[in-house]
Amino acid sequence: MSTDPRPEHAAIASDTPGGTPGDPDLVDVRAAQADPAAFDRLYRRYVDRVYSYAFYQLSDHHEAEDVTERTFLSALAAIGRYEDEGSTFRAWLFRIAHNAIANAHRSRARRLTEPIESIAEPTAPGADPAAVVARADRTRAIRAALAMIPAERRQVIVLRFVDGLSSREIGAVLGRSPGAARVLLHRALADLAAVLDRADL
Amino acid sequence: MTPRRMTTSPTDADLLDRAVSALLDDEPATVPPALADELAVARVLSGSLSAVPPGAEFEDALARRLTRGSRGDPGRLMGRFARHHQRLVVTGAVSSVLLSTASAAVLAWRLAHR
Repeated sequence: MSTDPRPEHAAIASDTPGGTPGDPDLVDVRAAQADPAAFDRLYRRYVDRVYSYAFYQLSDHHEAEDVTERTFLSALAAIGRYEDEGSTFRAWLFRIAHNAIANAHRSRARRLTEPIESIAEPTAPGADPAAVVARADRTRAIRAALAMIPAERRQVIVLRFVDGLSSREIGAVLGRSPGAARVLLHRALADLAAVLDRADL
Repeated sequence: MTPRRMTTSPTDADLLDRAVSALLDDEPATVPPALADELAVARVLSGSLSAVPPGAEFEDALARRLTRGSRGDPGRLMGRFARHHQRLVVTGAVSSVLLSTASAAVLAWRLAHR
């Protein structure tokens, strides 16, 4: 399991408006197209991030697992047909996850879900307990604030800050232009500023 | 929360996006004063939000399914997955109808024998 949520972040997210980012996954995608067994490398690289994306939207571990499973099974089934069409493999993968999440929202029965702010944060062994508590409090407050902003803006925040996608890739995931994704990011940050300001954080 | 109504000029959004990219790359990030609050939130998010990993058991089980799928026809694997879920839905619906019918029969019997 990878521990760094943004291992290739620097290679992708620095795209500027109008720029065309490279796709660091393309070699592994071609390998998986030639031999599906090589898909495992892509799976290991992205399972944490796809799961996180689903979990932040659904606030339910079981539903997040279901979405993760559907996403990777669909991706494996379709990897042979994947073509680089101006975006990246991970934008394509998160687009599949995005659709699976939309289906989960549509079909989910009304049932209790674990509030997203109550999920325990992984901590490093030997960490200063006071710092751990302060960080956990701040993380809880941020997750509570995230739950209060519109869903599409929350998706942009998670895709950018947790999954490390660029605005161009986020646009591809949400079916929006890169400019629209940047505007959504601006509005999401403004919303969170207002919510966190009210919470005095 | 009601979405905040605001006008966003593309220039502001572009400036903020560049600053966020710099921030996430651990490079100096600056914006005009009007965007300072948004950048401050971005700083907090970059230091606080992290991935929520799935359980190791789930991750390994899915890896095994994908490995099996990659040896056969991946499309069939997805088909089996869909059929499994379809069976669960049908079983749930049938059970629900049977329970409703049984409850109605019991209720009718009790009313008739009062």
